[in-house]
Amino acid sequence: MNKNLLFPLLKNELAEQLRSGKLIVLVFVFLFFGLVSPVTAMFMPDIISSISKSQNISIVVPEPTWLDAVTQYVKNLSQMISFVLIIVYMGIIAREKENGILVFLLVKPVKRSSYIFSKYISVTIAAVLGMSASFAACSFYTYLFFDGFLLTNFVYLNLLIFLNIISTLFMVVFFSSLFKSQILAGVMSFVAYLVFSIGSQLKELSEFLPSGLLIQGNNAVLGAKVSITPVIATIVLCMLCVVISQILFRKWEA
Amino acid sequence: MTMIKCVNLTKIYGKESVAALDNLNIEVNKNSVYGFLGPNGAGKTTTVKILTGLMRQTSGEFFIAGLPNNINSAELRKKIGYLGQEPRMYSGMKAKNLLMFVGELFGQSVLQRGKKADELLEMAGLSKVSGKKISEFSGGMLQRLGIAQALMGNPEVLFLDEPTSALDPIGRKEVLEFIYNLKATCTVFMSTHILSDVERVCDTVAIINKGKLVVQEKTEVLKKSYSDKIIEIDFSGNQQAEAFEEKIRSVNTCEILSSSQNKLRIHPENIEKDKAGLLKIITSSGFEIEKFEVVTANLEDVFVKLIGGKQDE
Repeated sequence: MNKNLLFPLLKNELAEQLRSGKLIVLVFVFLFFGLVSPVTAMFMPDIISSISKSQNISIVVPEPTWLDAVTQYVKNLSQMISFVLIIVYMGIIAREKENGILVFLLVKPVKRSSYIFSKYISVTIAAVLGMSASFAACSFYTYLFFDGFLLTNFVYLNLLIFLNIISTLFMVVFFSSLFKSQILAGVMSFVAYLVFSIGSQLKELSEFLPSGLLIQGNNAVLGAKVSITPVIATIVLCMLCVVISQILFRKWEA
Repeated sequence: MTMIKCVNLTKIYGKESVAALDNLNIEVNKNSVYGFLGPNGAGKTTTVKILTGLMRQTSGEFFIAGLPNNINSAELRKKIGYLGQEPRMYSGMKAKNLLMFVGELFGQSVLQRGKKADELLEMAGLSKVSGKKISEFSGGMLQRLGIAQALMGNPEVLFLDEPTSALDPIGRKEVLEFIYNLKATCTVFMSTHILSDVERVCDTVAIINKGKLVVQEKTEVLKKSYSDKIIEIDFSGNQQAEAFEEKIRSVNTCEILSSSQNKLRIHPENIEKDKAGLLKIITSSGFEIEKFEVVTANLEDVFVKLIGGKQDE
């Protein structure tokens, strides 16, 4: 890998994501879900009780705890964010094939491996920025609204969610490197996401899927034992995405 | 010195039986503008894509500035510049920033690339708009910026694929002048189907058709050796021209190179004999003409002569 060219490519990719607004949108979406999770958990009982009063129905809603906020946070970041990530990044390479930017770059002394690495690293940086915003917002408001919030456990949970998000992003980049159409790349990423989500319903299988990280995330929050298997499985999946896309991309022809 | 050498270069797409490129052998000399001519679908873009490392050949080999081919060779790409049919660049970038980025990809220092970018923007007549976003550029400006970015790495060989096809006449003129001035510093390989462009700027011409090399020759030599004199007749009306065309096709002594509206361009077998014969037909059949002239053949005539008949095969 040409390290000297990886940096300009990465810098340019991040600048492009900023110029197109993708990075800003992504960070705001993460921030929003980080913010909305504790706020919803805090005020949901009040909302439900005001609705039930107006309907003359009596609903008893238990006092919310920090666990409600965190559960909501996990749901938002594992489901809603995944769709956003697929939509935002499905064209990260496929679109450059479509609009000719890839040809513009590949006739320069750019190694194909550097190009692919720059894409994977850029989405990792985007995920770090997004997760940081989300983590900061959620932990601050959860700490503010609820008693007994365990920050250390929340940090563990966020690391597992981060890895889950990285696996989704790496799959998107992988499919984007594989196909010429960004729509096809998006559809395939969505199908893979669905397959993994459904697979996680099977206990034996969930251990080996990125979605199994969320189950371990719940264990981490509750201070229970966390299995390392989904972590290893996810890292292997991510590495496979990088290696296979590298191999296939070396053969790509304009 | 030979800067590009193709030896039996062949490309067959997928499971197709017909070769898009069929044993192409060409040689391009240093500091020349090489016109790679052919009708649409002749294999021009395929050739350029192979030579720039964007596509693999099925068989054969090529050398650029002495380096052998390899689709993943960054070393090879340090020696070339490329501009595709339509210039594709980061539209949100400013012109100078784009050139700076390209310079960085070629490993130039900030100082080097800044100087080179300013120099090329000046050369391309884009100095005043260097801070403008590329999305705001006109077609001609885009094309000139496209060439400028292709020159950013000081290439030994510059590949231009149909560089003027999307331009208006003014844009074309600007770009052709720009290309012509480049041969002092690098070798230009220009693929095109616009004959007048080749005639204007190219020293050497290769004509390909259906993936096969038809001819490779110095532009002037080609014009002289394939057809030196042409008879051009302007009729007073389109019907007159059509009737005359029909008449001489039946006589079948000379070849009609082109007919457009009321004008016919004819390649005579024997200039004196055919001139007299044609004038006789005109006077005896009462055709009304506005002009009857013997002119020197242009590249279009040569092209039609070499390709024309083969197109329908």
